[in-house]
Amino acid sequence: MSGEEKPSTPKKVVIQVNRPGPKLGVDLTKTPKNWLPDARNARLEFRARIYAYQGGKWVYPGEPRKITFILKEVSKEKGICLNFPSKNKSNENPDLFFANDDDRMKEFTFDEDKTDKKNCPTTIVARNDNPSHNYHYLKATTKTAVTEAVAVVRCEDYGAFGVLEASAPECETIPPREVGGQPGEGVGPNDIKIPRDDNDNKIADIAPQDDGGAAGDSDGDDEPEIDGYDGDGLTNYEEYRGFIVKRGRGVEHIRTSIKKKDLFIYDKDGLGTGFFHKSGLVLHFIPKPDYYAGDSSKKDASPDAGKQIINFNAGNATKGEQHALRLVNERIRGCYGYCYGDGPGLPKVTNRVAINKKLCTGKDEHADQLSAVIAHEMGHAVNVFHHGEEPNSDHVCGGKVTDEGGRVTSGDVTCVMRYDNYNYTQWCHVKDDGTHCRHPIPSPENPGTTFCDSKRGTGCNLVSNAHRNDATVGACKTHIRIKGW
Amino acid sequence: MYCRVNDEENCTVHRDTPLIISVSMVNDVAATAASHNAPIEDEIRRLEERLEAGHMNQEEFDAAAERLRREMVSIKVYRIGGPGGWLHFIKIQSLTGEEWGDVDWPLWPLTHHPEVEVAEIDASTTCYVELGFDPDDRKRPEGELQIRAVAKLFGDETIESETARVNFLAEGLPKAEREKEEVLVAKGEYALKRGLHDEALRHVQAALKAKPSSIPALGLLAEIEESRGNLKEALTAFETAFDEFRKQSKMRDPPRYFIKKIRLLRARLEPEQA
Repeated sequence: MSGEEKPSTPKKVVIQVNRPGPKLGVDLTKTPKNWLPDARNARLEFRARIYAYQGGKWVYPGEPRKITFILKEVSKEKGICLNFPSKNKSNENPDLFFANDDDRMKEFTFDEDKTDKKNCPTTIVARNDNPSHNYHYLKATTKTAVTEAVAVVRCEDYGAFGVLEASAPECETIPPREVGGQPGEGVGPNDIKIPRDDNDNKIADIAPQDDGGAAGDSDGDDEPEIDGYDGDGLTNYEEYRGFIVKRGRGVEHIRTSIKKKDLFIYDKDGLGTGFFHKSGLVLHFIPKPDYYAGDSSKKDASPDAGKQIINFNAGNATKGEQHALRLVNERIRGCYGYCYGDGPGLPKVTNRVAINKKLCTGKDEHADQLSAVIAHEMGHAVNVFHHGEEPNSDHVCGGKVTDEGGRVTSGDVTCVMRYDNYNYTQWCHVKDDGTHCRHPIPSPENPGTTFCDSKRGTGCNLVSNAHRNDATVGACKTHIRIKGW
Repeated sequence: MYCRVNDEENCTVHRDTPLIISVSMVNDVAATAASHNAPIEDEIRRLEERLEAGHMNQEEFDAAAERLRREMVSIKVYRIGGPGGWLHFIKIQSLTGEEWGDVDWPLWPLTHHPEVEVAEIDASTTCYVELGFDPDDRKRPEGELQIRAVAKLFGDETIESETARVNFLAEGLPKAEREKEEVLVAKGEYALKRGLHDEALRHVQAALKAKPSSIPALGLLAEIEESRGNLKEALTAFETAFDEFRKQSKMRDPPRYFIKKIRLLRARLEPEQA
């Protein structure tokens, strides 16, 4: 020590004096349990209140404050559902935003406009059911200090999700409460999920597609049951977000089942689907090519990239593209119908299912011919093959060309995939001793009306157990597959 | 309900070209409902098999089947028709100004399906009718026209199709177009449907002159001959068409229509040949 002390530098001390008074808190009401997102201008009210902490509990009202609502982690899915609007008209605007045009929000200022493009569809199902708007604000603050404020959130996607929180200066946050309920105890985040989603899979807990909190990208549809091939190519979240489909001359939005396999069809010429509903696939119809990203331009190969896809607006929890089927009336020389593409196989390798309505409804045709042909050709588009293949050379037996056992006319005679009224009047099988055994095929035959579930011969293909013409392939229902990934 | 003009939503027809208005009625809602019900019906059938095999008793079956039936959705079936056939309950209308009115053109029923008086439009049945408007008809209009089909169903329910557009041209097809195989085949098909066999034959012969290996022309020739009762000629034409198909086509599947016709014609001719 030198004995001489330096004068100490004066330190600046800031003392904040809190105004005496109770602690303040702000809470928020939860999303109603039964609410599901609806892109058609659905609006939800959320109420925030300022409380004072008195006597060990939150008491309303507290001191007025400006209350700020913030939407965060908001989905920005393309379009408003998986197949609307068309690719070139979809945008990635936030799917939840504050309704600045709503009378209930007159006393707010808005911020954080996250509009991507100002091309939101104004007509989804009915004219002007999603009125025009220019902003997608994610922040709203009351203009003045208040003890209670109601924010209105607008929804513009059938799969919208996000988080809402409320804050106010010098206020703790209080855990959210049910609408009409009492404030929670203590302090904690007040953010709430829109829609109600306690298991955090981005699917409303109330929706059947939530599946008890299964991951949004699950795809386990198991009806009709096909060994080892569950799924319809649409994940739980996609089935929940849904599709626009045809309804009479108009359209409607549907959410599809996560248990049943769904197949989408563009029936261009009003052919109907005949007996194809017997496949067990749930059939849905789209009104125009726009609803599956347009027709393939290729003529006789798998669809071009990006075309005939029913989930072209997919984003969250998708696993891949799922194709729809195009059904058309076409003059195909000498054929009742044909499945164009690289199949028989999945919808993703099917260009179109063409039906020659003129031939199917000709004057000599059975009344069920058209329905059977449609089901047969659509069967090829979902991975179903003929009961057997045609031989490379004629099987001549007893001086007549016959169908060898296990080929195109074999199996269950009620199945649409079997060839009826074909080239042969007899089928033939070779017995253990090498002798040929022939059995008649009736003429005319009724076309099939269903899809078989076994290889077993029936009708003319079941003379007795020792003289049975079982299909080589057959069991058509068990081959149906549609999942594209 | 669909309305098409020469198989299109919009078409241009020359003065010398027939116009075919096709109308089809489908019940998509029933198809969706039936597809929902199909696996449930399968399940009930499996239960019936178990009941028959003695693997379950009647009480168990009734309870299980009832539970399944409750999952099924109802299917609304539409009915159309009455004495004279269902196609008389279909009207074709055109738009004049802002008013739709029935057309007064002579429209010939070319084909209709199903051939019943009262048709049920359910999950699997499509009602389909083709109406023809002759090329040389004096009532043939000129210019662009919007048309639609209107069907009166049972219970006074009316349904309308979407609009189709036709542009009727005053001039005929250019000569180069007129001689094209597909144009001649289309005219031949129309004449055959109208029962004008000689005219149909004239068109198809011209088509075959232009392209002797034309499968559509050979197929049409076979149909004309069959209609005229010339079964041997019909069989020969179908067989030629089939041979050409095998030579020309890259399709995986055989031409089942030709095959069926050949088989049926051979069966009919066998007694004669004998």
